[in-house]
Amino acid sequence: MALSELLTPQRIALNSRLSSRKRLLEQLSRQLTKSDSNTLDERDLFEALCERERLGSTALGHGVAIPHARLEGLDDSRAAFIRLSTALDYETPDGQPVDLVIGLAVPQACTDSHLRILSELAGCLQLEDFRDGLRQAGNAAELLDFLQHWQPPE
Amino acid sequence: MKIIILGAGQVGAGLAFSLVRENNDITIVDTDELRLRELQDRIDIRGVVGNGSHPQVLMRAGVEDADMLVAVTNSDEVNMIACQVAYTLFNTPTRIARVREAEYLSHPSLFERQHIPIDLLISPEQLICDHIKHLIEYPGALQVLDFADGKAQMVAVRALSDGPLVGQELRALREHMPDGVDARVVAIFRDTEAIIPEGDTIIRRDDLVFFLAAHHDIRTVMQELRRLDDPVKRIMLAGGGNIGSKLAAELEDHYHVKLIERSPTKARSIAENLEKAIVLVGDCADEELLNEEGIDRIDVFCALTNDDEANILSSMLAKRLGADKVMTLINRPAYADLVESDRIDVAISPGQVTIGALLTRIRRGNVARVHSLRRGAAEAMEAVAEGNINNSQVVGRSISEIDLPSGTTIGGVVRDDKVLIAHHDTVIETGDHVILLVTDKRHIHEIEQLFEVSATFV
Repeated sequence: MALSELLTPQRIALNSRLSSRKRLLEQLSRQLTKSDSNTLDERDLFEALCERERLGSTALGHGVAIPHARLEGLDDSRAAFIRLSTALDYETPDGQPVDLVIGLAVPQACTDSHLRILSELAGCLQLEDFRDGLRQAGNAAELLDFLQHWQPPE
Repeated sequence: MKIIILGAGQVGAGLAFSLVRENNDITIVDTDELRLRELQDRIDIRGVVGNGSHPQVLMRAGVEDADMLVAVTNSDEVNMIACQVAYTLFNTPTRIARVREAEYLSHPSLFERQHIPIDLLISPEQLICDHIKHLIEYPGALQVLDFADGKAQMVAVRALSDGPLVGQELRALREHMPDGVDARVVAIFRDTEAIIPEGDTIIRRDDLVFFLAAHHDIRTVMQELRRLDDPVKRIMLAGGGNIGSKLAAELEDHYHVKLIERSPTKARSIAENLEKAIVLVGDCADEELLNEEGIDRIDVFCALTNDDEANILSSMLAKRLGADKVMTLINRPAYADLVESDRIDVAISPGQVTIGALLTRIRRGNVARVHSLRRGAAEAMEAVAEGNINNSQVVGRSISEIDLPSGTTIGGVVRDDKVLIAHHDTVIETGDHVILLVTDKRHIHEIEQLFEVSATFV
């Protein structure tokens, strides 16, 4: 799926230990700034993620959250992945704490295709098989491999 | 949310009380260990002893995990530095501070992100001055709450038998009023019970009625509920502290203002900054002084010292000597209950006025203004509708289609600077500032959720 093209191994963290939602968003901002192409300011990113969370939680239920933000000066969307070793409270619709987090930074002037990535991702994350795949990947390469070969059920 | 509050005084403790019931994780920092312990005996909070601007103390309070810092110690400087430390060293997402000193407040650029990064500045003195000025502007109103920079106002009045709407069904309101004037009654409090207004609700004498209208229609609507009092001309202010001297300066161009201050040196320095208002040196509970200064011809007497007892006594005295209306600053809620509506016309709680403003930034969603009412039991809110019909629960829906919790009424929306009073078929658009009254604070969380966008909103 498209997510595999937005992720790089350096933006994937498995078995992270983070004690709060604030630290999670900090960590996500740090990972999202790791890129060869474009310099994003970590603090701008962090603040944009926090501001978006204020408008409404990005938790989807089933232990998953998709914090995201639009950023000035960003040409292409990029993603980061965090899997927590201990799930966090995250104001979720189903009350279940969050352990899978996919962060997205999209350009300020994002197009329909950018928005489609997010809704496609949200759709996949409703599926237990997909979440299991993300939870079971042993390392970044396995995770990317899983995403590349993922076929949504007909 | 994880919230750190600096300062366990009136405002800090009051805020903790109001937030702790809402499933927040609260830590309070204060230098006074005893005060913290007393607070902890009453509510479930964490207490940390120390100076709230010291990084080490903030660390002990859990600043690295906190979503928000609310700096309301007695010291402006501690509050400002704490916000700076929280931002620079700990990345704290939201920073709120109380700053009183006009010397700082008159330079807004100081508080920009690259300087002293404060998201919301609260100046209680200014809030209280504005509050009192509104009450003076609409004699007979018990509350005047601004929304959308004052374009819309929610007003509370006690219904009197001489109001044409009293004894009638609410639906008659629109027929009574001239063309182009519109208003919505958002709540009625009868004794202690909240009544949700419907078209067939009958307003009774002594009901406390909250309505929303555009700023320029307030007087017309008030007349439906009670004969209008004469406009205020003469005002006497007791106490030349921050609030009294500020209020005198802001009122002197429009009213005859006399201010009583006990200390001669303070009185002299206040007088130097005033052009028209008269400053008197003396005791505001001195019967002879009040009589000499024509207390019986005073329209509004405001007791504004920092001493509750002195304020209450001087107000009662002024009322007995013939002042038409008395307004009194009362910090202790129990005192306000004892005297309000009986001996004192309006009791003003500085804590409650301040907490309402603080809640504006604490509420989730895009909230533009919160006013805390009825000792925090109720809340009036201006929430901005975001998103579209697919990712919002309010945008694209008519008011009758919106699933509001019980005891909550939408009064109207402000759209492109225009006030639209809510009707059942009013459709909410993105960017609308929706003004609601929540009579039971337990439903606030549902309102926050109602205005939240869904997880995929970008």
